[in-house]
Amino acid sequence: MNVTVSVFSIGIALMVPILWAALGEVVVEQSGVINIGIEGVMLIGAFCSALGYRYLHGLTWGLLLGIGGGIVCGLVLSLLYVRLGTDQIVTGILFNVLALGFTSTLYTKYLGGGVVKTYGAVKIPLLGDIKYLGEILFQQNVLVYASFLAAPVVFYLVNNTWYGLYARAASEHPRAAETAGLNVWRLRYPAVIVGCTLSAVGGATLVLTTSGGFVNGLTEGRGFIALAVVVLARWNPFAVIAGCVLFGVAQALQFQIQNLGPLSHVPSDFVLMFPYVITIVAVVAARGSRYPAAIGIPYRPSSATAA
Amino acid sequence: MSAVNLAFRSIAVRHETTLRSLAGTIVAVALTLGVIAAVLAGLGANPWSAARGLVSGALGNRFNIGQTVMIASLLILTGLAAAIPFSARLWNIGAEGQMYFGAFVVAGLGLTLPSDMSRWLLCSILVLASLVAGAVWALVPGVLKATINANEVIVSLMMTFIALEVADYGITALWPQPAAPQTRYLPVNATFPSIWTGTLVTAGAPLALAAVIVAWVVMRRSGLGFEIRAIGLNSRAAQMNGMRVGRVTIVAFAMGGAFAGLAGAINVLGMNNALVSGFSGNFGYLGIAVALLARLDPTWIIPSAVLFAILRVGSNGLQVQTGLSPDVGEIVVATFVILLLVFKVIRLRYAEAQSV
Amino acid sequence: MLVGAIAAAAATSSRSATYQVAVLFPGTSNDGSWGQAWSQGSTAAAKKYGVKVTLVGNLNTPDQYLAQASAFGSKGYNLVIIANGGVGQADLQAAQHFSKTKFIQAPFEFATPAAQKARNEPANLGHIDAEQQQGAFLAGALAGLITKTNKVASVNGYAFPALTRQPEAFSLGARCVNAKVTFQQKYINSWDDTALAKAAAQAFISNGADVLFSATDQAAQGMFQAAEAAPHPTYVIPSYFDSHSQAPKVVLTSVLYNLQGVAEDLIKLGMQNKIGDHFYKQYTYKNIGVGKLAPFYNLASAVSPAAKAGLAKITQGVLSGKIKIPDETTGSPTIGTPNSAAKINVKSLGCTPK
Repeated sequence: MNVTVSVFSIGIALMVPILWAALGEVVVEQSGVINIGIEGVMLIGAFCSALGYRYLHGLTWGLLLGIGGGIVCGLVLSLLYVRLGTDQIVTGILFNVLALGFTSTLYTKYLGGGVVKTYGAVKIPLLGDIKYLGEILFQQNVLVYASFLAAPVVFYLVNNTWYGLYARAASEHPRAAETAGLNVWRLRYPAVIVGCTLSAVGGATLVLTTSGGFVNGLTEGRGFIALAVVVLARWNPFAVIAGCVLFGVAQALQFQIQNLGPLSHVPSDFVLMFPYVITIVAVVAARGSRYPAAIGIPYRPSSATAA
Repeated sequence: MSAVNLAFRSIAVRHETTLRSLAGTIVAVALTLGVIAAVLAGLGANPWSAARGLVSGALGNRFNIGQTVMIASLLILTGLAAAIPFSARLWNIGAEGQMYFGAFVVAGLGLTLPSDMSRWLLCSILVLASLVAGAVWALVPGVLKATINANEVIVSLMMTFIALEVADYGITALWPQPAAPQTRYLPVNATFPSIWTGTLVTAGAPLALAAVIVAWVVMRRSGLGFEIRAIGLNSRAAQMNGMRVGRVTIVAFAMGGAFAGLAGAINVLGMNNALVSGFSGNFGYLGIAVALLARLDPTWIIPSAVLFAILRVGSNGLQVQTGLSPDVGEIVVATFVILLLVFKVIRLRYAEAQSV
Repeated sequence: MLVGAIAAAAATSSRSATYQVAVLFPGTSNDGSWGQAWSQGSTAAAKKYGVKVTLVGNLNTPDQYLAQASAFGSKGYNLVIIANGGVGQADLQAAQHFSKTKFIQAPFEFATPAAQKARNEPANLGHIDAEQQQGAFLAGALAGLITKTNKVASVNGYAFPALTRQPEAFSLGARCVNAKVTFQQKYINSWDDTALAKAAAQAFISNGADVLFSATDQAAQGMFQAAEAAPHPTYVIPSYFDSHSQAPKVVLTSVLYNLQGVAEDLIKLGMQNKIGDHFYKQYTYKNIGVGKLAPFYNLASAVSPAAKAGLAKITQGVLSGKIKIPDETTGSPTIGTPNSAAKINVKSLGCTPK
């Protein structure tokens, strides 16, 4: 397999957890909430899926439990962000600390080591045989394919449904939306819950495919990278895919560095920095991206009849 | 409405709600204790012996108190690193990385500068270097925020990951030590002297206290501090009143970074005497919790940091007593602060967007 | 039965002079690697010698090691084993303060008694070393003998000399038996990032490597998966613990540093009061089997009789001293820095590669 194909193929596999998390964050942010706690949600999704795999025996159970973990996170966070109206950025940061503490403590007690027999690669007939492109795109595992399918679904949800329209209105001018008869809170709850579920699937993907097992602090900043990708892609799910691919390839590139001639003398520490530097460059390149006007501000309905 | 007006109103409002927030605090504390007791019982540990283990581990004897003091010093500084930018609604969550970079620079200088210099001089140079290093590292998110409104949460966090790699480069390539992922030990003259016999408390502790004084003077008694807080309340109004938001942003980040860099110096010069890979137990992030609990007020950061230090050091004693992982302390910390947020004890009052 | 249990409890509680040992380590007691090896050895020693052993895992930062070591010191424990490097001064500080307890720092520190005195270490602090490069060399020889693509590779944790000697020795071993073999390596700066290890392994596999060495900890799990999904038969040789059951199709063997035996030996010596001032002990292949390779189990068919014979010959050569393996302090050049072994002519070590 030649070097370029290998880099892209590994890159796609590496980026999928971030893609799920980013898609989840698109759903959340388009309703006017910013979830900095996405890292914690991924971690909890990863942990739950590892638990499910170990104790209920099987990848499917792992995935289901990971989804369950995401739903629980979504319920807790929607309670905090929407109903109780705590400051979203601060709450999100603390949620990450809490998630790390919880998973670390429970990891020692209930998980320990243990390899996960991950989802194998599934070759798609015909498409998988295309030279180069087939190897890169169509010989991946099912969660990769599922993420490719999730993107258009999210796109449709955000842009082509009534729900998406109302939610985005509430994210720009919640007061006006309320005057027009929308219940801002009822629009935001499902966004946070669904968004967290998708992000948790990203964590589950880490355990069930990429890493094949849970270790403390598994996510290593991927949630925050997803936040950056979302801004750079201007909340367009397809652009999100492109951003994630860029990031995944950047990560995969470091393992082929020795084959790239002069670059092979770069110390490995600097190569490992590369994905994070790319993210900062992406943030700079995203200048001009405008967050929705009322994002991050807890909304207090003017009437007492809010849900 | 002018920013000055707004600031005065918020002060008045705060006095009114003091009783309410006191009640809220009590409820939050009670609830947190309840949650923790439930978690501990669920994990099979006796909450009372856990509490005993925690307290004796952190405060049971002079040696342990010394350990608590040093960790509190670190948390005071990372707390300040968060509190000052947060007061301007600038989310500096990169204190962890700023601390690592400060530690990196200090370790490098300490190992390369001539060690026969006077200890006072050498240590002063190193302290200054750490302040500059931390400030420089924080300037990246600061300048990007001030110029192109880049999301400082993401940038400051990415800088943290980069700083970890820079530190590892120092450990593995520049100043390696044969048997472990840490640098060579610094010469004696490049380390802080011990100031409390029978403990490990070094000159780092009074440095942290000095930092609090500096922060208090800046935040509560200087024009800069006033501007920072005004911008935090309503940056548009502040700008219209002639405050240079961009410049204050950069200065706030630089100050925060400087404090975090000093934390790195205290660790390298006053605790480990070397740069150890992964030396930080999330001290940077805990600093955020410290700052929030202290409501971003520099004076309250001291007791807040002490509380978190007790939790951190004591959780090792808790472990010895109950067999639970030391990470339990982190759960306590985060639950506590979240509950305080929920009960509006901690309230970061910012003007809502004027939406139509 | 209840009476028996109570009687036993009464008996042990009256023996308040039970020797108490604490073992502090990163990782967990069931991580299939470093942590598990130390835990197994310590627990076995507890049973064998009737001592009380307390295991504490998941310790990562110097302040945690300091707090734990001092907690056990203040409880009057007799021996505290710190099975981790990178603890700053925690070992020194704890030993200074709790002079009645013996402390052993056990990440293979090269602190001979002279070096310890130079660092002003207290007498109750000791160190050990283990000749890791011998086992890694043998693993390399095995790799060189069975590789069909003549490409081998290594995924490593951090680049400090005690670690670096392992992959460097591995490369020497491979070149010792196979004149055509090439070697690549990658440092991932982590002990447990399985995703990174997996990606590194995949890159090596796509470049043609078919035997991989792991000088990391739990991250090796990622390498197992990469090998399982490889297009050509690929094997992984991890370190510290017999990991065959984790991935029976690809874990050909493991380099066992017999940490279990080291733990047992230390506890035994402690109990017999044989841990003296400025204690220093070297564990080698000869005295405790450090560096033995685990059995091949079901993969024995992958090793041809010729390869087995070749490995036996090399092992004999290493044991008898005919083949001299440099380490991070001896040899020219020493193998403490990455890629230093590439400069060594294996014939000068006593090898005859084919």
